[in-house]
Amino acid sequence: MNIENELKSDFLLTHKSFAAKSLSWLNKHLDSFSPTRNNNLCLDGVKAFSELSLLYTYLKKRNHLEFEAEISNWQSFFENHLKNKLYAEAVRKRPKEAYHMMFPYLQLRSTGYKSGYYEESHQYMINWGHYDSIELVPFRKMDLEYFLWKSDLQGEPDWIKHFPSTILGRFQSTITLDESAAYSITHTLFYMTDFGNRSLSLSQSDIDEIANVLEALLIHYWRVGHYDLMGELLINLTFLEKNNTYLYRNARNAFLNAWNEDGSIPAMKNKRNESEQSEFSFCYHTTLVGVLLCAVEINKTLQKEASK
Amino acid sequence: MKNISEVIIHVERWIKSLEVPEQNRALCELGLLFIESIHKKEMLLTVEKADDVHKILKSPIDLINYNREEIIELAQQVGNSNVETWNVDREEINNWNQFLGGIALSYASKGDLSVVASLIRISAELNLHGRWIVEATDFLLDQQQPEGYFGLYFKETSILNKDQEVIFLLRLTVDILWALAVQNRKLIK
Repeated sequence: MNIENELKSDFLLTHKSFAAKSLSWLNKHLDSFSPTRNNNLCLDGVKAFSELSLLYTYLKKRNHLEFEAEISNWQSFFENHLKNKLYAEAVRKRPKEAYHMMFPYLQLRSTGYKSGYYEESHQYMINWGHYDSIELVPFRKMDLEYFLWKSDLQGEPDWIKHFPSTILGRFQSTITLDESAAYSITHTLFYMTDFGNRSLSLSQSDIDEIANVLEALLIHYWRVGHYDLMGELLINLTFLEKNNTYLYRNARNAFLNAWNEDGSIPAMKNKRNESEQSEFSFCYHTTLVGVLLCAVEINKTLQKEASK
Repeated sequence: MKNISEVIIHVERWIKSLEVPEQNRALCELGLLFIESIHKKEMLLTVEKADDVHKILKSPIDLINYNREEIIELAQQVGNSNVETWNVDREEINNWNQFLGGIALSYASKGDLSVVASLIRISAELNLHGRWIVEATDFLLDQQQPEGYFGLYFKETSILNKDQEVIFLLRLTVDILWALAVQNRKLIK
């Protein structure tokens, strides 16, 4: 084995092992991702359930990443909840929150799962004019159109039309960007790159400029110990093929160092306030981000290898 | 972006208008010396530069982990070191440029002007003028009050009497002038 192959193999093994550790933590806490609590719908639970469905979809669609064993019981976990009357009927019973309830189904639909009940519920939403009666900030509009497109319910969004109205398309200086703006940017890039499946349909100079912004934000969120945004920014930089820089390598190492022994990743460097937040709610999102980062990096490495 | 000459005229007027106790006169004089340095584009404060810069600047990553006091101290140490002997390759220069500028923007976003000034000073001492440092410098210049001093509202000043407040603002203003004086000197080299 030559040095390049050895490094690649070491890189893949490291990422695989970090991801496996986190997937083990996620499996251990799978019940905490339930959208219901004591036979009631819980909106925090719906959010966690939705976010888990997004990671599941990413991994399920990429068998070559070889995480099937780790996520083998997730399909039944989602199906059981989606089939639960309490959850399934909420789409029709709570029209204002219908899209949030529908989101996990849309995710599973993009992997091939279909349910007549949810198909009908989606038709209800269209009949109510649900999508026309909500006002969304530009990146959330992109979010909605992206997931409807991926679940094959409508065509591809017009990225060039949406992009200029997002924060990423119009801001002037990184010092004006707060945490919400940073999340708007990371999510805009998730959608526009189709989670790394394609290059941005922008000029190379615009892409370099975007990478520059991501790097400025990465330094800031690394300095303040905001691991959740660090992870999302690292994913973005990988999507833009800007993951072989001094900054990237060191920030990724710092992010890997933030991993707890049990596989969970704290959202922030500073310890959570235990009385206000459970360990699960403090760690779950960043842990999902951590698994996604590992999967994205493995995927990119394998893609590069295949294209040689 | 503000014109530095206009900025300096206002600061000079403010410092000259101050009536400070004898023990703080030196601070006013230091500020005026930096103003003259900026006018002349030449650093008029002479410092013995004896420390080994390579022992002070180890890795750009250190900047991530330093707290604000350590960054301010680092600026002092770099100012006292033989920066002319700083001999690193192009890639390392780019890394320092990126981290000094990125962290300056990070502190700028939190409104911590002393740290921003320190990072600008370190960059200028090393003759680094990356775009993020330029952006941080523009931000710093925008923090000037109509009276001429730098700094917007500080919670610290709310517990100080009028004389203490002036000294507090004078110190910050002199820190910023120091950074601008070093930066201005380096730009003409």
